[in-house]
Amino acid sequence: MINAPITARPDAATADVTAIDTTARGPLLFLLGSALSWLLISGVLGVITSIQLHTPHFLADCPWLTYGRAQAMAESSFVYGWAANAGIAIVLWVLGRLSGTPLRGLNWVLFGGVFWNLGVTLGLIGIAMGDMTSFALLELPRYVQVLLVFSWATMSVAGVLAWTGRRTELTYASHWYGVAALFLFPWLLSAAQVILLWSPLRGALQAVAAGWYAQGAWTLWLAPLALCAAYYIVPKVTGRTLPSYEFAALGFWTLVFIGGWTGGRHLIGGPLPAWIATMAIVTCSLLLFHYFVLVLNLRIVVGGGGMAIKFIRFGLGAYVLGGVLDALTAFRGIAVETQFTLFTTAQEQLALYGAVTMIFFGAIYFMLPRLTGRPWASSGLAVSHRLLVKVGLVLLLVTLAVGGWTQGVDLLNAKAVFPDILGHLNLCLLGATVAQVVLLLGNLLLFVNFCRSTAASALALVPMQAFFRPTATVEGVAR
Amino acid sequence: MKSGPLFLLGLLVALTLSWAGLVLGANGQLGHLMPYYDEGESGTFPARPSGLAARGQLVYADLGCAA
Repeated sequence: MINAPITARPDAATADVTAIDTTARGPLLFLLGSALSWLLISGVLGVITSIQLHTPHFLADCPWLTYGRAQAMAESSFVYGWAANAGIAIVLWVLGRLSGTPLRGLNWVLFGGVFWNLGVTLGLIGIAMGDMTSFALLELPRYVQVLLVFSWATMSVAGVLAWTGRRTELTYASHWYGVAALFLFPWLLSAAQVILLWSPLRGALQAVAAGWYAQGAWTLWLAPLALCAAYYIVPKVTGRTLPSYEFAALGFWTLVFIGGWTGGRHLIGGPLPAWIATMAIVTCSLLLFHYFVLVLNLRIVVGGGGMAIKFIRFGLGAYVLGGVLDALTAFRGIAVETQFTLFTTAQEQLALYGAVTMIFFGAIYFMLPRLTGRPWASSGLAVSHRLLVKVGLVLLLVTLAVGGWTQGVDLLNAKAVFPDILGHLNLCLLGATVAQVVLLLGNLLLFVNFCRSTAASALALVPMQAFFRPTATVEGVAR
Repeated sequence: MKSGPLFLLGLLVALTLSWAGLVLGANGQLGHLMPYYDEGESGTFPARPSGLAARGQLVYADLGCAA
């Protein structure tokens, strides 16, 4: 197999613009703009829920924003607002570029994107009104779920056309991960809806189905979206072929075949057959092979420079670390300490924010100059965004992990009383709130930079880059 | 991986296997179980919450904490 095509001058972001980029500009910028808006909304909700954990009376009189609802809204807006919009925009762009021809079916992308965001908006309003479900990552009310399935399928049309209409028979790792994410998500979501919302299974079996969906959404949808971007951008920016690329297919199929079986990871000790938890332990351990292949293939990211690579390097590191932690905490002896504590929240943040979001940030920094045909409006805002997000994320993960471990030890201590356990957590929870505020500020800078960049692009009547070029392209700044 | 239909079939099989193994497998083992009436305790298990517990469950569900 051959590696993804590599440009001779990967730093020349605006010189790399092709008709593939310009024709897809409108729909993809709409999706990216929506994604960043949802990221800010989820950030505000994240700050609110974080404050409520150490100051329970905060907004307690506002039924729309009690902790349960605000937490569900924060998670849903993050996953279905930010990650879904950004992920599909990135995947469609990558598939278009790999196909070698301009994307077709872009009206479907716009149409699906509008209805997807409408569905998420209605879903959040529904959650605020108390119509949420009780399943993790599936809290959106059931009356918007069907709309989401059809909207995603509609947006995916352009990706499918790009894949089937590609100029070469060869397929690359980016293809596999991108197409898998496009196809598997609607199947996964519709199956979960049937067994959890429309014709729900009985009793404890709902926990099994919810675990299957939550782990499936991570391993078969969000992770492939991010890896599609990483496998495309890393060789492009570093200018090197991926080492040990012949193992990439094995890594992909390991994730796809094994990922769905890890759903029992959160059910250890529950009122369920023991084989479900044992299966989770075995599959989480087997999945380490996927992470090993990823390290083999993408280790060249360590030597690369540039804004995109810095984000992707962080994201890949978090992805691998998250996989190792998942495998370790799946074992019963460790799960007894970490389950039902903030440590689990730290693992979720490591996966969703540390891995997926950071890789998406890197991809956005890489693709926006190519979509707009202009460099980012401000390299200062970009650098500030990177610093704030990294500081906020590290602070968030450390405070949650330390707090979670302390909580786990306290909960196992029969003499510890509940108010004391909460008292021990206070400092960590305050630290987590500070981290959420820092993350929100960082993401606000990205949003401002995005708006300025796209506005400058829209207002430009003639190609300006030959005459006016801000300090440098973001890709070029750190080079 | 040149064959698109084969690739899609692989994805479908992968998803179906995990769904069938984990969800259908567990359902086959537990799904048919009925509540158990314990003559010694004169009650049915699992017991349905009553009184204050049932009202608390409704309040929790309304606030989005559980359902």
